Amino acid sequence: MDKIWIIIKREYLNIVRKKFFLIATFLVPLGFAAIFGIQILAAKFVEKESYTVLVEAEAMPEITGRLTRGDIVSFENSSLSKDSLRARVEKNKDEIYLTISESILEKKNGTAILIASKNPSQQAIQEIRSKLKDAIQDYKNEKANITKEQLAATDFDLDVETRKVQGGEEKETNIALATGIGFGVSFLMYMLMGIYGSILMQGVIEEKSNRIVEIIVSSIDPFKLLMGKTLAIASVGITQFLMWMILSGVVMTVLAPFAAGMDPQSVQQPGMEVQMDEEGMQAIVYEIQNFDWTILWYFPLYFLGGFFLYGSLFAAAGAAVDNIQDAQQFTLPVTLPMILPMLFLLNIIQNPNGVFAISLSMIPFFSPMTMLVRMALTDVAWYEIVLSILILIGSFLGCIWLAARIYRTGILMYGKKPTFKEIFRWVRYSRN
Amino acid sequence: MDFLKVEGVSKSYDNHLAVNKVSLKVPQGKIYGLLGPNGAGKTSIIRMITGITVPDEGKIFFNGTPLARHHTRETGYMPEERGLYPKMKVMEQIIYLLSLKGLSTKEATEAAKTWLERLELSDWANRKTTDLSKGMQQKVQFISTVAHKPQLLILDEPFSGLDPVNAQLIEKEIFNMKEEGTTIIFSTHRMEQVEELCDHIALMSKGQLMLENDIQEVRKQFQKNVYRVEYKGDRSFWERMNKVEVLELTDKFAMLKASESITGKDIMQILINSPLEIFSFELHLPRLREIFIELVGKKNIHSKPLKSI
Repeated sequence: MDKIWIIIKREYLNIVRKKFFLIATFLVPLGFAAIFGIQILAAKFVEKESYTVLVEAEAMPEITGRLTRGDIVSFENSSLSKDSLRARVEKNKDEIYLTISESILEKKNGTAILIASKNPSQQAIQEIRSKLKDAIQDYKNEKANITKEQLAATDFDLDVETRKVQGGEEKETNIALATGIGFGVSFLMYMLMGIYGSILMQGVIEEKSNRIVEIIVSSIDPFKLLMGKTLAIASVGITQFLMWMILSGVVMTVLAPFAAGMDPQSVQQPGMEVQMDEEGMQAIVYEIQNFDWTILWYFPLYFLGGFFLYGSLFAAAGAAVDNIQDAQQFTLPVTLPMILPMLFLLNIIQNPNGVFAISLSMIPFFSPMTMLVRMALTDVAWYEIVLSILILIGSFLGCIWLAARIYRTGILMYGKKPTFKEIFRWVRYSRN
Repeated sequence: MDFLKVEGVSKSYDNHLAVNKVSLKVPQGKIYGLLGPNGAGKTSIIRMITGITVPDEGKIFFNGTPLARHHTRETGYMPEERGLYPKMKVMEQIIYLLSLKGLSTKEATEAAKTWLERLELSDWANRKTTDLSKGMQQKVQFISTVAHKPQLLILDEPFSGLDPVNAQLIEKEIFNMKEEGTTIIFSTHRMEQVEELCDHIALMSKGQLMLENDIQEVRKQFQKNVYRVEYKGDRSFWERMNKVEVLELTDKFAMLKASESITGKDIMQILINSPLEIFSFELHLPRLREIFIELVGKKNIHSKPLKSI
């Protein structure tokens, strides 16, 4: 057995057996399942609220007479005075006092005021708004001599559906979903590279501060030790990714049938930006299942490339110092290019085929995070993918070369923290 | 026969010449002391012998063949600054380090078991290193250095930080290994240990080799015609003696420095004919410490540890 395998085996098992790895591997998808599951449960046990909306009977009979009962609100004309109405809703929590100014009827838009002892739920407000708007609209139509029949005859609603052509076949796409997946995948990449990069660095620093590294490099070439550690941790990252995929797949499969039976209205949450259409969760689940997941095949590829690139630099930073506190100065130039593409994700999403997005997905320090976003949103030409991967490979080879030179000198250096200038000298000089 | 030969080796770091054209011959099956003050280049030489670093110039021969990576299988190295993985179990740790030397898992396991028993650590085999006392950790360190039966054993300040009981135990094992034919390089700046343990020494200072020889030869080489005489009788006799300088005198012994015109044999002759009772007469050989000071200067011995690479 080559010695590098001995290193890989120890380093791999060392991390995989750690608590944090087990927690992260199992808890992340379980947490995801829990959130999903709780939503389903919550929808089943949701409490139906109901409000009575009190309207001054005298105020605007032409409008109030047209108000119809809704799902959770019902309207009631009241002959009480303004003050008594106020007093009444303050006492009764499920009553709301609605006032509108008469001038609203002459204007293009207007504001209604709801008075209650506490803020009504978003859902109730929406319903009151829609009922009131219908009533006013109805009144205005009648006044303008537009009949219901005429309205119905000219009524028109439009949906826009996006499809992409692939191999002569059209496929439905969901831009919102693709954006979400793009963001998610990119963020996952950033997290995995950052976490495992710093684990690699910590390992290097620990071996140095435990003073075991000199014993190890008397048995194995420092380059092999570095590569062994890097490959082991890269494998841990891949293992974690695979576990997440498998567990998420299981979670989705188990929960999908429950989701299908859900009432779409009940999962609609206040303040949620994307309003679910009539097919609700069912449609979302369908779309997730039908999303073009080939992007996931590229994830490990870009993760490995990015990890070799960043990981080797993290390892070099670790080799240059004696303890983790001193490492700060050297990790900053490594983490900075990692964060940078995250700031440009919106630009890429807006125009995934623009020159800016294409350029970012070619730059090796950014491509692992940016290419996958593009791939989620648009069809990236195969030669662009090949080119970005080739550039990435070339660059990580360069980084490993550089890191190996810093590493083999750095691991034997103790005492004062080196300057960047000294580190450059190690690179130039490293004949060992 | 020389087991290890270092020929004209130099090594510099940055602008600092750590080792300057040093040649060493380490005889087979002997304990070879590599001495010198801190910063003399001992660690730099050792790192080249263990293959951790490569000489800028010069050659190293291991048992007659040019030093190569595969020789690490035959080498055991215990650096001055040493440690273990604190979270790893004792047994796993030893097996790991021995596997890296090239032993199969089975061989490594057997060797680890034998040695743990020998150094009375069997009960601790499945404990984490961090649970062990410092002395026990040092034994574990020693086991992982020697359990693969290296032909060349390199110990850099092996006794530093050892309690007397463990020091004695390790010393016994070092002698055992010498008996079995292992060549041992022993680096230190503590002279009393060298005289006790080493057969052969090399003295380094500022990256250069000052001397290298059999330890008795070295002491003879640096003798200054000083004789020590144990006697009984009238001490005024010594003051009347010609051609010698009395360096130290008590009622029991006299230290004499002979001038160049007189030999030891001549002095013996005079003493035989004297009224004194003579119990012993010997050439006083200098202690290594004295030689060391003479060669590198007192200042260097007490110099503060420089952290070299």
